[in-house]
Amino acid sequence: MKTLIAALICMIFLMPRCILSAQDEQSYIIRGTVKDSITKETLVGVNVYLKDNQKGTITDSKGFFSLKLDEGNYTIVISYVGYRQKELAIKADRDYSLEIFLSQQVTSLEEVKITGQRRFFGNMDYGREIPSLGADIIEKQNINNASDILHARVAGVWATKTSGAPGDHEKIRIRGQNSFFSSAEPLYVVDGVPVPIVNMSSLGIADLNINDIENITILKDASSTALYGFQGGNGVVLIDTKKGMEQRINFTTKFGYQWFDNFYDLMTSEEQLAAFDSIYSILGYNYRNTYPPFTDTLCNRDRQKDIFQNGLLTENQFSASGKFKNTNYYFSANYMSQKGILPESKYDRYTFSSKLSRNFLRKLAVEIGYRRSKQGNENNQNIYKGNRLVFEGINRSPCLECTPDTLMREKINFADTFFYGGYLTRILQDYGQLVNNELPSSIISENNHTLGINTNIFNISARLQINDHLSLNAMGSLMFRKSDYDLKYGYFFYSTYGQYMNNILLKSREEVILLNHQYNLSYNRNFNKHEVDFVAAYRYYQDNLWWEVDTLQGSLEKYSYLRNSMAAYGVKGSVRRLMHSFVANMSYNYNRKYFISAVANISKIKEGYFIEYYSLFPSLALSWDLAKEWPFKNLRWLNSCNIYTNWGNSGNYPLNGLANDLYQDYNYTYREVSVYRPAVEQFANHFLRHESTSEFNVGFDMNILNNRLNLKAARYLKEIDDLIVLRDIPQYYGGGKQYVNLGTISVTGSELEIDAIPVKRENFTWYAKFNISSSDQRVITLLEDRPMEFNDPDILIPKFVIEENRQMGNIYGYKCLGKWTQEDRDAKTNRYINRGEMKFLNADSTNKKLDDKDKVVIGNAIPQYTWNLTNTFRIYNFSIDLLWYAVIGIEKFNATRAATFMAVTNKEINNYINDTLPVIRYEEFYQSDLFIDDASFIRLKTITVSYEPSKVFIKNAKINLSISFENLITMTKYRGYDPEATIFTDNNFSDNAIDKGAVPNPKAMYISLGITF
Amino acid sequence: MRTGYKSKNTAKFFISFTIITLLVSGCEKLFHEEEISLANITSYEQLVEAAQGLYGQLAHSFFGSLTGNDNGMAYYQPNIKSDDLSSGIGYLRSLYWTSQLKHCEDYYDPSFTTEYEYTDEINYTWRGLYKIIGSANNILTQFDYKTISDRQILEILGEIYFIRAYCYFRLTRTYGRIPIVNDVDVKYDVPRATFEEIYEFIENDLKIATGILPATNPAAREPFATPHIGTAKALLAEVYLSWAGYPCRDRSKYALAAQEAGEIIENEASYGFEILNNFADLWLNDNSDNNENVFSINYITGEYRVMDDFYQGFFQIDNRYFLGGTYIMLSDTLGFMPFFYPGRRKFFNTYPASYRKDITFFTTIYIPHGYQYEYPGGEDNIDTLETYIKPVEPHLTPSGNITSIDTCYLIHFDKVHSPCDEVPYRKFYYGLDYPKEGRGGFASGLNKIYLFRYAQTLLTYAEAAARSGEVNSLAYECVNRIRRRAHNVDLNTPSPYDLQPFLSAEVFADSVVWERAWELTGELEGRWFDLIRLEMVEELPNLRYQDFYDGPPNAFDKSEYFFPIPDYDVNLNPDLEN
Repeated sequence: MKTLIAALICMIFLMPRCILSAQDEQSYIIRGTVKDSITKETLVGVNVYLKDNQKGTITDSKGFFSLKLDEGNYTIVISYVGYRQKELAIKADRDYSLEIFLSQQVTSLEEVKITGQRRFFGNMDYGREIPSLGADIIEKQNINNASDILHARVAGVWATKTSGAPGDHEKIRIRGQNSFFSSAEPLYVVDGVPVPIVNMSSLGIADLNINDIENITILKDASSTALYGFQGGNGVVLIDTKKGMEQRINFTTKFGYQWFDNFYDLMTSEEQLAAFDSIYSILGYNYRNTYPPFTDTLCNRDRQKDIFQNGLLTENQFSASGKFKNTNYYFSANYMSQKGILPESKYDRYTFSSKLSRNFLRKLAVEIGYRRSKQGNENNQNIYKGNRLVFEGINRSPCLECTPDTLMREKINFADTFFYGGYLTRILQDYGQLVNNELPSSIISENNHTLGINTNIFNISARLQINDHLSLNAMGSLMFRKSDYDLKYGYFFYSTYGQYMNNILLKSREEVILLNHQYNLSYNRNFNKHEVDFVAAYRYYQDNLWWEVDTLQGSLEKYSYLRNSMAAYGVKGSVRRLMHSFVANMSYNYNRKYFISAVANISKIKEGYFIEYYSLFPSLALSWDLAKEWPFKNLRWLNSCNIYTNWGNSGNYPLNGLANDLYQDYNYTYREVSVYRPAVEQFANHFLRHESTSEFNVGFDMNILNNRLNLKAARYLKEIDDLIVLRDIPQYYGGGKQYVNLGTISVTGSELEIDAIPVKRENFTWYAKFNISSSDQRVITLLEDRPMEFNDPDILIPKFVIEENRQMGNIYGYKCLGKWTQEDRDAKTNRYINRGEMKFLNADSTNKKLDDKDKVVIGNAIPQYTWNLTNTFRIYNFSIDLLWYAVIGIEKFNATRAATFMAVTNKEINNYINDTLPVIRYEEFYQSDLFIDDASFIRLKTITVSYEPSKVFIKNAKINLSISFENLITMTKYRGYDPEATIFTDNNFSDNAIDKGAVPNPKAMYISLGITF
Repeated sequence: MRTGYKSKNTAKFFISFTIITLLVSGCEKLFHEEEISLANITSYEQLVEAAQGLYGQLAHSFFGSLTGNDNGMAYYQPNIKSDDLSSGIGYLRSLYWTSQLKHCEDYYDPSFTTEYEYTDEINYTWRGLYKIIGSANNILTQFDYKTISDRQILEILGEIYFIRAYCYFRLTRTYGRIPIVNDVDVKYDVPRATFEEIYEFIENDLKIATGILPATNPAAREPFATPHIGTAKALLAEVYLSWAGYPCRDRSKYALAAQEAGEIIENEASYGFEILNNFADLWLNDNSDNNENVFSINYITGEYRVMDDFYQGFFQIDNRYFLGGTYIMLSDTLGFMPFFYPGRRKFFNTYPASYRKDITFFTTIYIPHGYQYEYPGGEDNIDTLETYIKPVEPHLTPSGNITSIDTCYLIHFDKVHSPCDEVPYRKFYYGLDYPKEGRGGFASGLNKIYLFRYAQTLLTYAEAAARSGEVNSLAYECVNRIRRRAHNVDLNTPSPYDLQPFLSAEVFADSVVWERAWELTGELEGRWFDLIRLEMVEELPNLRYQDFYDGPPNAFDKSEYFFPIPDYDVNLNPDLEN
């Protein structure tokens, strides 16, 4: 505590010190040579510059440089493409001669900083480059959520901004959709601590302040994720936060403006009345005579414009770092507040983080950290099964003034009695529209949900250098996270006999307590050209989820589960999970040319009463630098060429009480005394195991043309065994569903990444980076060769089936083949069925009914490939950054558009009115491929222009001004609001395949100004 | 010196770091206990809670089925094939549609795409009872009664064995050869057990229960009307009686049934069983905790109200009436539409006139004037009906919910002779009278539904004794007590209503069977299961009128005895193929 206060006091004195420190006129010369740390060869053309101002030089043909400096403290940055950037703190009080060794790092073109101790199990080398993103990439972007960093940056990472609601985060899929019923999100590890995935507060890393991030590393393949055992199967995202190094104070302020303008082109009042007229005349009524009051008020409003507003964002950031006595400190505080593009939606976030580190006798380094964040969400989650406001915008008749009176009339007289026979009414109810007769504004007032999340994280870590070769790391972390969710939700029951309002008030609280401590002992030794590393590590992880729900009136669903969990989200409960991991790693390399590394991870898991078992996760990696071999050695243009192959196992166990039986309170009344007592509602699978991923990976990584061009390619073959699927429990065991391990899927894919510096001049540099990745996931086996079905019976959607030898993500529905013709009538074939004058394929021709068996594959919800293109131009003090992002070969069921058909607001419906009117009354129509849209898109995700003036009115200060635009250009065939926005309930990919009125990603402009002393 | 100081510092830090780490890792109190887990019952209180959950589940499987589906009351489904209890046309109508649609594969008119899923309703009993068995197994697998000496714990375990036995007993008489499940790890290959295995399993459970249950109902277990040794023996007697009949036909079990039931009757005072003096008292709300109740399911007020509201949603409350066991809904299109399990007409007609009959059935009902009573019997019977529909004066109308209706018609059921197969029950009706406040309905007056009454035990003894060849005076006494009460005379004084003495064993037994039918009319463990065990189902066409909605003439054979095992389970486990 004392140190903390001291550091804070120190901060106050820092500013004048910074300004005053450069006043002495005396100057000194710093000379040096830069060499490769292994081969000891001198390096030519290395950038050597001062971190705080623009002074710098490059090394000459002998690797020599000199810098003339005024007296003072400096940080010299030595950076060279292909090597790890190095920073040296220098006190210029005399002349120096330095010998600097840079360690080789095949890296992306932005000078990525990788801190040595980034992985908790020690500085493991995987024999190839691990994709990582440094602070300079992060700082350059005007992004709002930490997960956005991963967007379109790394090959093999499919990041989707699934909702434009403020505070929403990206859904990340690393190397394909690896799970069907279990979570497919990667594991986030912040400063060595895995972030638990739980129900309410599972906002990934949304609680992180982006500016605190020092480095993000992505472990994609099973040979590296094996370290994380049960949790590593979906890939691991390692995040390191900043620690205090150089003296630096930074203020940044940001302002953002968001707007949405991609509306549906809906009918006008006249058009809708004309449509109604023809519909009614076909049925033998005169519409305008039947409902005269309805036709009197033609307000001709496009409700979409009532629904959307412009969003605003402000963010202020302060950080200070430096050294006080022997203690390095880092503090940062950030406040972000955002108003969404839908009315009443808000997000705000406060974060505070601090880190103190100190070295004792150069042998012991200790670090203490504390992070705190507070997030407030208002109306950002989509209500129930769809976003009512979006539906309200597209389905409300343009003819009507929104008074309850007219709406009531509309509903009773027209919608329900006529078009929406029971079935469709139910569908529309589920989509949360039409059945409520409220104005949009009253929906907002009657439906209010807030989610507040408070997180406190304490970290302590120590590293003891026992001798030159042996070191011990220890780390402990404790996390408390509390979430409060309040939901006020009103919805209507509606039948032809009357309407009934049901109000739900739901208050729920959730607490997560996490304890993680880990130790690792590493040994490193060099003998001439041999280098050996041993690491032994142990990790203890325990987390505890506790929840409580008060339903004041009514209930949302009979049982709403914790996500992915059997544990009832009924009244209250808790789940504890415990993992122990013992990891051993051995790696050896010869002359930086041949490399071998092996990992064995023995982990034990214990959860609930039933789950307790051990599992082994081994991995092996080999790599070979071909460029050091004859004859390639003599090729001047070939700088390095690593060929690698690796194999590993990891697991995916969602750790969420899947193996816990579900209990429900049963009511029993005697003499008017009512008691509730728990009883087994359904049994879980007591022998549930993790999904086990085994991956084989081969690739190369090549630097050519004086490191100006970097090529990376990889091919992976993954097999995921023991796939977790939901299986029906026989009713003689009480019925319900349980998760079981059955089936195997294979995921194969390729990745290609090209980094280039096409132009590199003194005042103009052009960096270009392109990556493309594809994946194909296929079901190999399922138990008893029986297809597994996944669909929500409440919602009128095509279904999702996993079936042997078929691709995952397939959407099944009816094939619509256009209008029924006279020829079809004459042909009398069973192959096609006439339903509502539309022709549907009768795939199962054993009967003449159009039923479930006739559904065929009409789309696939997993993209065939994604590509990203980043271009960065540095012209004088300007930097321009363009990020293109493309997802190709993906289909979605556009339920939003289907709803516009049901509500007769879509202009397209005119094509169906005259001779095929009945079609819009049939569910088959909505389960057909007519509403499957191609959701492929190419999007200019961001374009950023930033400017850093070379001279500022305050000495040593640096100003950064940037402006960026988001989602300015989108090229797509998708007929809805936004091809990217879809998921909003679980992790399951089926949600990704249905657009149920998701909040679209808006276009946005951000302006930020940062000052650093 | 200097290094010494430093290393001391380092050591100090290391020690404190280790301590902190140990503290943190040892700090189990940070974490919440598992609050919902019954997978590891550790205390007596937890065991009690878990056991009480079973009663809740039992109540839910009976009353919960009311809310489960539109035409609910699935628990009664085996019984409605019987001659005393009808399905009500609403229910049969739905079955009728279902069966029609099954033959309409080629019929693809869009307006008939939605099939009624009543098969799921039939499964409700299956699922509900097996859920209770699952909960029981969850507890019983955690305790070995042989190694436990704690009396309190044993008594609770006895209750659980009893409930499991009851569930299996009802399941096997409903579905025949069912799979026996006694563990908590879901398996997909459990075979169908033979009848002998099932009955032995039930017998075993009940033998255990009689060994460890308390001798009387402990006051500590209020408000749960928990079983005791007498209760378990009464059920065991019923089990033996069934065992002796179809399908096992093991006649040696009659003696065992007589033995168990006789033991209860001899010690009825110590078990706290008695026959109430007045039959009507059984059905009065304020007398629901009587000593004739052997085992019952208590009524869930809350659940029931849900259903009330549910129906209010569809029909105006003013148009709705409840009559004993019958919902009468008046709607514009369907006319007079009784719902839910009324009595059957022929049974009513052959029921000997007695005080008990008056309590059991309504012989007259009111229907509001102004509504067409669209008689389900068809055109031919309308004349007959109108004869007996008399306008009554407004002051005679039931109070409460039909104030807006001026006149009611009074229908005399006992004078209508027609195939219309329904007579409303009075004994299940609220206070044995018409609705007072617009609410009421099945068993609502009682807040409980009897599973076993002591009267049944007496009759079981009488029949079992007779069939095992011994028509003794106790057997006569048992039957006569029931017969005297049926006519509302003193139970212990010989009366003209007594059974004729010196009957042959067979004739005596047959008369007891009919006595059971009349005494237990419409009750859950009553008539239908007698028809099964005595293989009388084939006689049903003679025992009941042809119902207009029953479809083709009823031809009963052995396939009608048991319901098929639900397709849902057969699909998951082909070994269960019917």
